[in-house]
Amino acid sequence: MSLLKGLDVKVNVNLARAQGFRQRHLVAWSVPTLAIAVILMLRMIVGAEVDWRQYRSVRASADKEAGRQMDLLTREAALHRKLDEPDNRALLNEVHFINELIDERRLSFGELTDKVTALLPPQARLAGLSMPDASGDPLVHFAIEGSSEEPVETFLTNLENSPDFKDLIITNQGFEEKESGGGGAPVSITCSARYIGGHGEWTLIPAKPPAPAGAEILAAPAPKVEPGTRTPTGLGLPAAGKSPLPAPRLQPGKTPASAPVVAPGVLPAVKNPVARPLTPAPGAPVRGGTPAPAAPQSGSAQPQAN
Amino acid sequence: MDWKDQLKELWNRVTWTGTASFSLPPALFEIQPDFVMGARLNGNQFGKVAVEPLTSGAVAASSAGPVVLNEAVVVKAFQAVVEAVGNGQPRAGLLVPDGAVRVGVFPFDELPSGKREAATLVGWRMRESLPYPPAEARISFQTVRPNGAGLEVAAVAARSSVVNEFEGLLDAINRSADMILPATMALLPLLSDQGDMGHLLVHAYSASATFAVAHKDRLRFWRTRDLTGLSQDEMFEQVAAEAARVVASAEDRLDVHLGPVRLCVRPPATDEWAGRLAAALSREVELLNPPPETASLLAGPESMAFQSYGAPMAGLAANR
Repeated sequence: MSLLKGLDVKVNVNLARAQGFRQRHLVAWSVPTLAIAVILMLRMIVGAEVDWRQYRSVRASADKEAGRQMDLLTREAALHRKLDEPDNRALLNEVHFINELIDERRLSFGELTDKVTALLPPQARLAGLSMPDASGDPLVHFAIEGSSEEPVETFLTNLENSPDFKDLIITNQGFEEKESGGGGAPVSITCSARYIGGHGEWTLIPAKPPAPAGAEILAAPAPKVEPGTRTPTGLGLPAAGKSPLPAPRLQPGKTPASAPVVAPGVLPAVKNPVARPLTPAPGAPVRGGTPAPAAPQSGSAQPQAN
Repeated sequence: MDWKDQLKELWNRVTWTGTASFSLPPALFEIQPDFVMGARLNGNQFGKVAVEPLTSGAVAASSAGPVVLNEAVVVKAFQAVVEAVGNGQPRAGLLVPDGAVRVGVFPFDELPSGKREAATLVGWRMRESLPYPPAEARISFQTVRPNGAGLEVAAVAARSSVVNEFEGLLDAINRSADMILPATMALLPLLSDQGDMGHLLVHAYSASATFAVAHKDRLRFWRTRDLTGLSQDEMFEQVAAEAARVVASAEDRLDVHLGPVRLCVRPPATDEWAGRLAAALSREVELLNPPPETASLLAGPESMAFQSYGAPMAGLAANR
């Protein structure tokens, strides 16, 4: 309460500088700023505690995994020691020897049939294909049928000029009367040649879906021998007609029940190799039917002409 | 205007800061060429008062500046005053010599709504009375609308550098200036109501005298005379002569019928001046002393010092 009454003049001037925005709001903003800072600090503390717990959990897991790793290393060392024993060493050497033999067989039968088929003119067909000897440059027997001599000669010319084959030998040639329907006599020929284009990657070419009707591939490349496994043939080869999977290499430390028996030079037999349907030349007699399936034989497959 | 002046003007525009509204801080200081005074307010009463004399030449009542000629001495006096009244609030008010400021009353039809534009316009009106460019002035003003038409602006202007010097003195004692006023302006609230008659306030102190005419709620006239170097008798003669001129001017030009002259004397002026001035003016003269209520908490030397020097501070306390 003012002690002085009845004043006329009120002074409202002031030469002091007005407080700036920062000064006026310093206190007003300091409290919420401090509150926010405290909240953030608490948040950081809680977050740090959670992170510490997670770190300890992960650290425990890491220690556990390290223990397991040490255990596995110990087991691995024990297996190495066991593998280094003389019996296992001898077995490993045998397996390596077998795998080397398998590695030498880098012949793709599917590739071979593809190449032979490419040499066939439209008026000729492949009636038989066999490979009695697969060592070195394998010898391949062909049985070709044509509607006339010309396509057969064309095939022979193509075979002779092909860089994949050499040493062409004609073993048999003949003419055969057509039994029905008239139209001349087809020409059949049997020949053999050395296959020199099969040194590619050892691959298994399955039966081709677009292959001509009446032809299927029963052959498969010989897989690698896995110690401890026996094939139905006892030769470490898959059974005919089954789709073999690439066999894994010998895993060290596996003790086979018995050493595999390998017959070097064994190749899968061919049953109904890929053949082109005959496309008769205008006016030429056409023989219907498909080649009879050849009985699978060990080491050879004789083509049978219909 | 060369590029330096343009740069200076641009700097002044950027750094322009308005003046604060009047507020009464709990700690009050007054600096005059011959003394420094400090007081602590407890409500409307003064709890502590201290006066520290200054050596001659430490402070100059110059409106162009500089005003603090011996800062070490002045700061030392301020520190002694602060020790006497006690460390308290950091906010402080400062009364400065009337000679360090310029006060004027100007009629206006209207003022711009913006504070800065209004202050610029008032400064332009004050340019003739300012010994420095108006752009360098820190201006505070209050407006009165006398008859419902037009404005009457009572403006106080001080050079920014001068005000900065005063603020620097408070900074030296860890205080911030919340209020800066000329000492005589603080006396105006002590003028009591005299009906239709106006007031002539004569404030004689520290080798200067200020004459102010107030009518009702309006300041009508303000003049400050520098009496430095004059003896007491010479000072009184100058004061009496100037007072006679102001009375004549107020009654003739301002059409204000003046009541008793209110005389506030502070050392070296004495109370005897009241009788002598009354005789010289052939008018009733009343001494303007601090109201006794404001000094009820003071005793002994503090009370005497307050009675001698504390009238402006008492006026500030009455201006709530």
